[in-house]
Amino acid sequence: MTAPLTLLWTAPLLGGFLTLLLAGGGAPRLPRRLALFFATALFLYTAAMPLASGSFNLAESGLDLAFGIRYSLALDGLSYALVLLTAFLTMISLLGSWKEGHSAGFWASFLFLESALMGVFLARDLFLFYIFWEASLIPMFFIIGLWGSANRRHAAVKFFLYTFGGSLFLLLGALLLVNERHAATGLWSWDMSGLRLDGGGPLSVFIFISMAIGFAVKIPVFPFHTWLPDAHTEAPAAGSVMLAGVMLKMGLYGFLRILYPVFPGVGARLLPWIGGLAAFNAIYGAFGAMAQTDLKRLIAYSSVAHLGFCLMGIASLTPEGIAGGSLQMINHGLTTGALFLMVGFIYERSHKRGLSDFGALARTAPALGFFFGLACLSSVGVPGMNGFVGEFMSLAGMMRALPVVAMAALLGVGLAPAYLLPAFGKVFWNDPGPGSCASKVTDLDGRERAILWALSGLMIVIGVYPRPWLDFFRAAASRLSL
Amino acid sequence: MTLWVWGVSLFLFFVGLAIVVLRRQLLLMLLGLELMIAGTNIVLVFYGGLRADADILGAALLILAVAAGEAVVGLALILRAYNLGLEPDAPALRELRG
Amino acid sequence: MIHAPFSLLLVLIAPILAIVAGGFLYTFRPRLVHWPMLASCAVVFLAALRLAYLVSTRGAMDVLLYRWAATWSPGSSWLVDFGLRLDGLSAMMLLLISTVGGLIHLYSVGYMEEDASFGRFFLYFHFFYFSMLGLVVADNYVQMYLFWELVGTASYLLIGFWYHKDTARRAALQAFLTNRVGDLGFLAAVFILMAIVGRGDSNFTDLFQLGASINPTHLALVGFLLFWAATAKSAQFPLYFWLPDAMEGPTPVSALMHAATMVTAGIFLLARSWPLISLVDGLPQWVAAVGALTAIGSAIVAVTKTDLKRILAYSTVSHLGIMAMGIGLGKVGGALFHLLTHGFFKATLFLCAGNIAHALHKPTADVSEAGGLRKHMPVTFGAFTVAALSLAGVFPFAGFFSKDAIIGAALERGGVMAVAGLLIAFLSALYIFRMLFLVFWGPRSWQHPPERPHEAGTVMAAPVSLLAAGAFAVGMFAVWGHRLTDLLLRGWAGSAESLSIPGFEWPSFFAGTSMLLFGAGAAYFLTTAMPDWDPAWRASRPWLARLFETDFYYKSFVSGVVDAVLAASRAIGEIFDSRVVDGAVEGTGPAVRALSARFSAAISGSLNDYLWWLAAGAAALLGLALRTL
Repeated sequence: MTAPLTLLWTAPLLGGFLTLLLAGGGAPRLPRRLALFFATALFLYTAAMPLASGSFNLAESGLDLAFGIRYSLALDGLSYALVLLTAFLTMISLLGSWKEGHSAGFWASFLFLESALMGVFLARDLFLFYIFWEASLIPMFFIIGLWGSANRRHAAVKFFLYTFGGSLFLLLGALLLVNERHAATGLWSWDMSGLRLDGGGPLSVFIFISMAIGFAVKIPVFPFHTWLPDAHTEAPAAGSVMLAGVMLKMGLYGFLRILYPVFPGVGARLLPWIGGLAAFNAIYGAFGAMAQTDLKRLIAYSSVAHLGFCLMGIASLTPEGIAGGSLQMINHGLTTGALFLMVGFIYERSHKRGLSDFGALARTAPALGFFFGLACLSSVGVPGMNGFVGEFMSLAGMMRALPVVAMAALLGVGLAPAYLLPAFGKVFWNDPGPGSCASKVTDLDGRERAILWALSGLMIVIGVYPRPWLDFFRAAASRLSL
Repeated sequence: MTLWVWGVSLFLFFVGLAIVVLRRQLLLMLLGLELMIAGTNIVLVFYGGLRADADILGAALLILAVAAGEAVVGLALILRAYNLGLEPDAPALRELRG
Repeated sequence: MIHAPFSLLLVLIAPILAIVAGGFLYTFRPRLVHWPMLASCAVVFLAALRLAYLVSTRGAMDVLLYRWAATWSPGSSWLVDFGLRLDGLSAMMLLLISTVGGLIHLYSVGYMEEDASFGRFFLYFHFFYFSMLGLVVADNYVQMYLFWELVGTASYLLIGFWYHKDTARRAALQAFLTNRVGDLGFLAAVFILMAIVGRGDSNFTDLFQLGASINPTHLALVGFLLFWAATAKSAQFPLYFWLPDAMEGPTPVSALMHAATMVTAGIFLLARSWPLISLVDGLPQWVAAVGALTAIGSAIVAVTKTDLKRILAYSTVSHLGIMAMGIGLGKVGGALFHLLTHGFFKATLFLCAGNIAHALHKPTADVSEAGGLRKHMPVTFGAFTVAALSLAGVFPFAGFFSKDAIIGAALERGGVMAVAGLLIAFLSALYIFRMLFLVFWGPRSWQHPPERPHEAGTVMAAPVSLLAAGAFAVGMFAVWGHRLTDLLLRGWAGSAESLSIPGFEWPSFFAGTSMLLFGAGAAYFLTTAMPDWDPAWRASRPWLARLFETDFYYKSFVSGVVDAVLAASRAIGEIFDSRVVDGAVEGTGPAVRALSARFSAAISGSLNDYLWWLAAGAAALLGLALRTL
């Protein structure tokens, strides 16, 4: 294959169109089979990529388009980790919603989404990045708006407008940045690696903050987070998995790929602000989660808290913080992905997701209880599981950069079990109250167990031996650290 | 000569404009539009002939064609409104109000 | 290749294999899950013996297992290694955990026999045991923290084992959250230490060598944070309150938790960190003061409790206070010795309480429901008596030697500490003899159980008897020829003086034994001579009953704090977030619409109006064009 990276985003695009075209015509199961086939093949291809070439550093020669825009794709450890996560979670989400009788559009949307996300993580041209970035909104808009639960329209529009509005700040920043580069060098270029503004002048700070707002909406960082609970709550389970598992990471990826490399000076200068905001996120998300009565909303707020830890580690600009924060992106994708999937399984059976709608599920659905408990522990950050590694390293990094912020963020660590374990207790341990739907929730079947084994297995493997996984972020960590 | 041409052209143009702005019957407004177009075209043809420039004459021809097309669409719309039982008067058609 | 004694690796490998095997068995034959666990216990016990021998002959060793996490940047590296530390301290802990823990495993086979979740119990239980083993052989603070949290997690699962009970669910949550509050201190200390070391983590040996060169302020912070962590796990004031409620789990869990795992972790942490803690000015005094306060307060409350397991739980809090006091007084050896003997006698007492509850077919029993069991349960009675005498500190029972070491140190220190030491000796005797008299002698009140109380079966009676034998003999064995001190000295980074255990000294013997006699006499007087006294004061002085019920109103204070946190979360999550933050977002839609209503007034819908605008615009443009010409 001469263009292995182009294949990564065109194959799912093609798959999506094929799924749509071949739908109808007497084979109702064909679309989902086709979609799963494409997702699985792509995952295997992605996984095999470094095995074949011996490294995950890969670049395509690229192609000059107009206005200094260049079609250039490349892969490094950071990109590879996220590409792999995207491929894995797309496959998992399709498999997870296997029994839901959706139309071909549903299955195709996931492939379109995968294509856009791949593009985001592969692009090395700012313009290309922005195109993929915006393109990812479209399939997600339809996933939420067409196949979501009761209040889906509102959530979809809110999600789209909010994140689109955030993207405008990103575009503004990108245009100013390219303009600035032209002023300095006389060249029009959107190339990410060539863009670097060392000085910390007011314009640099302005561009940094503008783009940071664009990324912060996606992460999401307080006070730009309120689209997230609505979108998560209304999205179908697989949509939530992709949203939390991959799409939120786009914002952090932007920090790692664009902001910190381009503005090394500004990044260091704003460290207290970004770090402080991240720590605040971790605490605020936890408090927000404690007050929730809807299982999905609760997990959505826990995402806010977790992403706060990710951002804090990255913002610390220490190698351990960057590596830990980046690993936490993967961890959060696995753990929260598993949690959303399981809430989806529960919802599929009972059409409820309130904390008080269930009780004693650990007795009636022990396998579900086991996996849910395991994912909760991972999310709480119990050592030996993946959640701990990222949290620990992020905090350790911030401890070296700015101890006060790290100490404050410890409160967030302390609060994590205070919202997850009571929720677990209410759903899985409490006696079912009157009007409970607990009896409708049957235990997991073989397909669901297999999915959750895969996710839980990774959680434990990363937790027990995180070092090989940290290698993905080795280059980014050593390049970006102060 | 130039003065005459400009005089006729401007006269037609402003009469057309006055009709368009002041009258409320759609048919008359369409007529006004045509007058404005005709007025402009006179200048174009005059200068096209003066300079022996085929491009300008071509443009004049294009404007004629557009004016014809516009008349067709406009008349069709008016007819449609009439058929629907609406009065073909501008004040009666206020769907566009914000 | 890892160069480690095979037995050291076995300590971790055997339980892991057992849990994996048990997990497989659980899906097919849940009734057989206990077999791999028992085998693993036996292996670990033998390994612990071998390791104790190795340590005493060859000395301490650090083994690097694998590099857990690492990052690189030009000029600096950051890494966390996982390894195993074998020294006298960990060998002693291994012996304690494997002996007591193994016997409790055996006991559980009988105790949990009729429980529907038999298999699940053993999985959790062995996980608990494994976590504690991992904790004591940890080679650095990060690794120790890892197992420290796993211990907490396992305790959450086990305290909430009978999750159909509301109280069990609450207790489990309370235990986990309280421990988490303490863990934050541990975590913060780990981070500060890592920042001090500068290249990530360091094993204990290297870290303690830095010792005096560390900035005293940082060191003090680390010391206090570690102590804070210890107060949660080892149930010291102000974080002790989870432990008495934690008896909601099955009795073997309480036994394991109080005797060998969990609560001993905090004391172990203090002992492990002694080389750092002893360097901090004033910290040992704090530890001693908090220990004494906890010991006295909980002993007083223990006297007023009527539930068997609750009395024992407060007694554990009290004894942990004694150990903390011992450490604070600089007698780490004495404290560890007491940890050892306490493990034996407290396990015995809990298992006896379990026997009684089992005999009465209840999850736990009240002293008023027991009574006069002496004749019906001779083995339990015998074991309980031996353990009670050991707890009270009767010569030559094990508890005597260990308690004596700490009381002796308190007397030496004099002043408040001496008074506290004597008071504790008096109170421990009081509550344990009160319990003994009420349960085995008092009037029988169990007229209506389904059948007469019966002695426990062999599988339960045998471990209890063995533990009781330990509760009698361990003290003499350890003191004789300074065996324990010699063992602990291997690889000890603190002063040798801190490990000295006096053995037998007349002054403390007299002081301790006279207090013991007072306590026993008072207990006899209150239970047998004035049996009505106990209900009488509760009825006549409700405020006093309430005072003890709430642990001197401290529990009310804690629940107030919890309520405040919940209220804050509601204020943030329900009101601030949805109304203010999201309100601003949702408000943009209506705001834009309102704004557009203003402008739309100009859009009249009349074609002529539009054309006027058009003409005006064209004219303006034309004017502009003419001006520039």
